[in-house]
Amino acid sequence: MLDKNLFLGYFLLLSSLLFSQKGMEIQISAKKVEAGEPLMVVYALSNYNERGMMRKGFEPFELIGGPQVSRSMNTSYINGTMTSSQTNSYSIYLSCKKLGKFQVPKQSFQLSDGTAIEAQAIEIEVVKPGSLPRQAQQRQPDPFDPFAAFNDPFDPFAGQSPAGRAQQQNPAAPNSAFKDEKEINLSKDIFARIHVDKNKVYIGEPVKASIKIYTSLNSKGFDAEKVPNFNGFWTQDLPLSDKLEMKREVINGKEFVSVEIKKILLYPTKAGTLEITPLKMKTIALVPVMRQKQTTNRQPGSLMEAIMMSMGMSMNTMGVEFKEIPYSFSSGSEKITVLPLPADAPASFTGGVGKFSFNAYTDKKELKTDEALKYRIELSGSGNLPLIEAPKNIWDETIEVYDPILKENYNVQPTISGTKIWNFVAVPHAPGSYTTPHLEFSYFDLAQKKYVTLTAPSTSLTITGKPTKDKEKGKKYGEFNYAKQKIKESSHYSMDSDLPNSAFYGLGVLPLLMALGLGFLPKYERKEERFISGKKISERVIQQMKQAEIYLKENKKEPFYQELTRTYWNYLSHKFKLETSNLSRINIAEKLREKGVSFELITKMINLIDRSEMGLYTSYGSQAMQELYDDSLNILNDIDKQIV
Amino acid sequence: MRYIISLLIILSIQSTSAQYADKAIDAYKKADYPAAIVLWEKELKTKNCNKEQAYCLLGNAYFKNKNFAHAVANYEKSLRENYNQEDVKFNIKVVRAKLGLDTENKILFTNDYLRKVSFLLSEFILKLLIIILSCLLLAYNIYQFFKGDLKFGFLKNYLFAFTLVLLCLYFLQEKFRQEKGFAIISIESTGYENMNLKGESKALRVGEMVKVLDEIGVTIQIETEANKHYWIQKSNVIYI
Repeated sequence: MLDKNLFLGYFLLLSSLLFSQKGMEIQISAKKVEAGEPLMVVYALSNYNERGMMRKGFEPFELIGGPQVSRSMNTSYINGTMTSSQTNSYSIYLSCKKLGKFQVPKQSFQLSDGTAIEAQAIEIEVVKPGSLPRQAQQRQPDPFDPFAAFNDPFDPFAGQSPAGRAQQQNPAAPNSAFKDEKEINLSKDIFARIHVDKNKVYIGEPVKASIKIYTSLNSKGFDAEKVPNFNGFWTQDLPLSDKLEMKREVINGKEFVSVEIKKILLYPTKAGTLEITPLKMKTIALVPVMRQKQTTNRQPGSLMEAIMMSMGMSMNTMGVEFKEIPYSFSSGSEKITVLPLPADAPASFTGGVGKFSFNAYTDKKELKTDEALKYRIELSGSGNLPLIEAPKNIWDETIEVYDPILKENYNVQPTISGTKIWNFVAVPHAPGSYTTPHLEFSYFDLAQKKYVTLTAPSTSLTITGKPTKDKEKGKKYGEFNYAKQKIKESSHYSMDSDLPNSAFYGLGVLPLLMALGLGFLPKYERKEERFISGKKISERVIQQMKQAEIYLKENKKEPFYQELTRTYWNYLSHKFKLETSNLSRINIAEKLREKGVSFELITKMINLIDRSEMGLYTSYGSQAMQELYDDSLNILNDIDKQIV
Repeated sequence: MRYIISLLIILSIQSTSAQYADKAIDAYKKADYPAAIVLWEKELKTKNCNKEQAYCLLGNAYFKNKNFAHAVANYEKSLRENYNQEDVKFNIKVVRAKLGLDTENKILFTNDYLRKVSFLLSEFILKLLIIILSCLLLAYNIYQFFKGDLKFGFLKNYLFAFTLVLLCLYFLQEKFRQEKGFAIISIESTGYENMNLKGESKALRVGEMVKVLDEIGVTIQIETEANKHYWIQKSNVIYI
């Protein structure tokens, strides 16, 4: 497993070797190294059928890692002939503690035919630690990355670190192997720092702070035990890139991987010495520990070991093993001295510190009443923009002004600068000439160390039209200013009582349609049935008496009695099949007797005829009419039953 | 008849308890507005949710969370459920004023009178009345069919007309409730004359209510309150 960059290097290297049959190339990471710093040497052998590297020792250098072997094959067809080349690269890591010019001894490789080839010696200059320019080289996150299993301590939603992930990876070349477990002190290998860009500021002056973790060891994730406390500051988190950015930094001659875990803008809100409390973190570090039986230049003891070594799995055979050691560390606190602002602040000072410019604009100068006027206040510059409030603007009473809409646009790099725009909407309600408010804005200038007051010119406005807002009632916008009103809240909530639609359509709409349909159906032929003193009156009789019934209801006395008399005669003549003119009381009685009608009933019938004829000339009221009607129904019905 | 009424009562009582609503109201009272928003969204997915109130209270939570476009959208949704909510109309005006918009919403307030009338009775009461009246009418019609008129039989026709009016109101309510094709601008965006987002453009304000006319891929055509047509990105609006 090798660094991506190295791979790239090999690739370039190999491509140049491709057509040379056999060859060896040696690459070194630097010609000058600081004492104690790692030096990488790569021997790239092309098309040698070698068995492995025979290490002859590296005096005065010390082998701290490797050799790691990487193989690459390249096969190509050119004009029908196949050429294939194989390149094996052996990388070793060396370090030297003495100063001066030294040579990395010649190394030799054993070939399969028993012979050996030798690599050239390499000249290296070892200089004092710290004398080389420090390089902070930014790199892509790579598999060697000690932060691969890093957890953002400020992210409460981050899950547990994937345990053992770091373990699977082949560890990077350590800078130095520890000789004894007891000597282990990780304070110089893993630590955190809080960086601030200024230590002495005024109230409100922004301070950029960042928290970084430095490590030279692999570890299994980081967890925050205690996060820093920014008491006395108004804070604004700055976004970090989605992937944690890994940087290589050299501090005191030792190479570290650093990662920035938090970037924050601090605006001090009070004077005095403010302290950022330390960040406390814990981790499980993978610490390289030397084994007891350690030899710097060992020959492979067995064939198996030789294969292992040539496969680059020689770390353990070299006597270095990794121990998991839980370790807690803290960043140390940072102090910031905050100076108070001078006392002679002008009235228009709203807390601005930095350097600003400001202006105000209107979108028109002439407008009608009830027309909206847009008024914009723009503030731009660098400083504590987020903390600045809108300058006071007082308008004429007849002009209604709504709360402004705030637009902010900040840049953080290199300094905090940007613009802040307040958009007001003003609606005049009365005609006349007015002016926009005279605006003043004061801030504390950090360069001049004094207050500066800026003014914006006021614009004159001409308003035409009818006044729209009386004192009692403002018709269009209501009696109040919506912008200043709060919403009406109610915490009332009750469950919805709902009828399912199926019930609605089944029990509501369907019956309605059915009722409607029934109305259109032809009328059911009804057989009227009537009961008088418990007896059922036949339909035929009722039909005969229909007209009489109508007169009875209308209380028409004369037509009723006439109709009744007529009905009797008609009925009887129909029954006996005689002409009405041939009928008389006497032959009625006879005929009835012939038909077998009882004497009692005949008497009743004759009596009925008498009553109806008499009725015409009596003053009996409706009571008598009803009685007669009921009786006639009754008697006629009886007769009807007896004469079949 | 008695059976039907008891059935109706049983149907109306079958509601379950408002499990999320209580929590949401508590969260709102404790000023934990994001939690309240989440809970109200959950409540709105439950079966027996009172949408009219839930949308309004969700709107309040959005308002408190300073998310004004969502607040307006939810108030409008609440108005769709029941138009006769003066508090909600007031809240819409307040939020629109805060967004710097005209407080007279021209699109939603069309058919103002019809909407007011159709929402005079709540959906539940309308349904119940229609069911009772039509059952009554059917029963009477059946009786009349076989037995003939009763003394107050002439009232039937009035009752019939009244029931039909109620039915119309119900369907009108449904129509207003189902009214689709409105959206609210959620991000300050630019509307273009042409479909490929080119041509004459106009800045659209957050919270502005628009009618959705057409939808092609990720762009939609909208009609603004000033009756102008523009094309904008679909992701810049919230449908109501």
